[in-house]
Amino acid sequence: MTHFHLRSVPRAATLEVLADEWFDPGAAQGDLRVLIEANDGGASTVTGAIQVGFQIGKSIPRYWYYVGQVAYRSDEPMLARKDRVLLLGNDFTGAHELYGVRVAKPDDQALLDALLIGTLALIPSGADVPGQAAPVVLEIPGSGHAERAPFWAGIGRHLYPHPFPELTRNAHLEWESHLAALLPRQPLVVSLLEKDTQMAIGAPAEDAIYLRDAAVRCGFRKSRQVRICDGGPVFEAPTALFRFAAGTAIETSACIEQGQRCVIRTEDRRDAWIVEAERVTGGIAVAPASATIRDSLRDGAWAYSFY
Amino acid sequence: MTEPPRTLARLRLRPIQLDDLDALLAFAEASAHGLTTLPSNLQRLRGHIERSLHSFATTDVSGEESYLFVLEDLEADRVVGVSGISAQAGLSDRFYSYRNEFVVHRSKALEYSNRIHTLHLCHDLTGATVLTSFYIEPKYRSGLAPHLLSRARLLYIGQHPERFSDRIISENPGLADDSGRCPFWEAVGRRFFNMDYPAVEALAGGRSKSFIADMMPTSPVYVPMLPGQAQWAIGQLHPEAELPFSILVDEGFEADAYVDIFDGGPIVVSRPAQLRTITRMSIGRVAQSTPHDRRATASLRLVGNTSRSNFQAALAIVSQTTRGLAMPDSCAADIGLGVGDLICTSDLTVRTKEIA
Repeated sequence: MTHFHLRSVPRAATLEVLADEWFDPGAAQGDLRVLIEANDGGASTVTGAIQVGFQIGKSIPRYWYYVGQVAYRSDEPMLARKDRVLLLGNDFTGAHELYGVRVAKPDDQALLDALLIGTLALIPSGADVPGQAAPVVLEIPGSGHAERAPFWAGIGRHLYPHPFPELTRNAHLEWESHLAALLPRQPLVVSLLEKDTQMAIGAPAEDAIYLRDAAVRCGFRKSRQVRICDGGPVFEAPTALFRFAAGTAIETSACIEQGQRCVIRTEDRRDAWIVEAERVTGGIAVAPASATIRDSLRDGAWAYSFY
Repeated sequence: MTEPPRTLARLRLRPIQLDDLDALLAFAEASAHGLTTLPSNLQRLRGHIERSLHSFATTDVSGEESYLFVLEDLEADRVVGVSGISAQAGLSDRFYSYRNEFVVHRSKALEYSNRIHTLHLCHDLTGATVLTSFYIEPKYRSGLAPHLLSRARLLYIGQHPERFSDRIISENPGLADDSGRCPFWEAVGRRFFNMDYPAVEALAGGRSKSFIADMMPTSPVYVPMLPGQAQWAIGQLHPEAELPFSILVDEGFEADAYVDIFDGGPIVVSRPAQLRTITRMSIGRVAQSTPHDRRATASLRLVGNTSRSNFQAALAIVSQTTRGLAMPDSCAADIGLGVGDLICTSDLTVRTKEIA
């Protein structure tokens, strides 16, 4: 039975040879870098990574299109219809953002799910503080690529007819922020856009469908916002997903075959494990193959939550 | 400017009468799509005429008056054209149009700025006086007849300003093919109605068409995002509208600010006091015409009587004399005037080829 270990990698840990391979070098200084290792009882291997940006949009303004609705009605003759509109805004300013998802095997659902859920457990004031958590969002790339994306072709290209530069993440965010100054501030009526552009609103790229599916499996909710360049969807992490309890004991049990999914995290939120477990007095029971987790938790406080 | 012609066709503009119903129906049926104020429906046309008769007759104006004039060829003894005035647009509802606006978006960091053409749905022209229903038989489209048919309305407005707004507009049909398909409607209106414009007109069934605007977005249309054909159609004229349009532009109307929300045709706008016919208008008395009159002071003029309810107008070579305004007796008689009667005139300056 495989369990997953997520560990945050401080930026100072330059000796981390894997960091350059897995992480976007252009990320902001304060962003969290998380590696995930799969362990089936033998050696652990890094199989994926993710990054977290905190309080996005505060240093570099971020923009999204809100996909709203307007209703029209005529009394004489009696007619009514609804339409979608796009409204440029900064709706997720202050949210945390998951980005830079990289996995060795995009079709490994368990790995992807563990990566998303485990990372949420590591985020301070993340998905475990009901009513107080800043939203956590995950943008999914939209269909097409850069200036050839149908969404861009139908909107932005008319206002900024230039190729997109190749930029690292932070530089790209800055560039996109400047680009937003050229976009309409008034609602854009979707019906007036080209059909391909309409279809691209909230549609993920072919090679990002695995990520969309993972987000949905993990309870992320598709928001009403889309990316301004390619129309890709933005998902919001589930709130109050976890109810952590302080852990005191981890037992092993050979009987655990189909346990509940459980996330364990250290008090300093530098490590988290996704494991199948059962409740026992004072803590949890895991399969013998996951007994190594107990060694990692020996020297500090930890908490667990079934989800 | 050119020398006035020596002879003029005997044409007369007068208020429409119920006897003109058949001619009006023929005009409506012959009109291209876009001349929507003349429905091809006998009953509704009768209603138009009755409303016009009431408008000319009433002294209790409400702004809902609608005046129709016909142009008669007195030699052929038949009606050859029609034009109209609606005292105030959208008075009982709203008059919608798209206002052309330009916004400049600029990104200092990207060193790029963009001037973007937008269309804003607005009611700016609600309450304006509308010149409507212009149609003239093809045989009469060259020469001076269209000028009389179009400009004589302004002579009437100039004489009775209390009946009209201080803003005058005219809708001009936009680009459309023979079946009524127009690129602007296909790109804008159809997205909200999913039917041809003629079908929407049929749905309107003679009611105010403001319901169409009620179903359209109030946020601006970003023109660069429309299909190329639709962009090009904005402010473009239907070929059949070029003649009346050119007359209005020559009068002093401006065509840059507004377009029709259905076909994108230009809506021309002006203040009455800025229109050539009205600024050159003067009132005098008809004088006996003598052979000496047709000399230096003779000029081509729109002439009209000063009657409110039975306004009639024609074109005439008029000489300013010490006795008054001298013009051929037959012409004065055609518009119900005799020597000593008050007459309203306005100089008419047209291009030489239009006189031919």
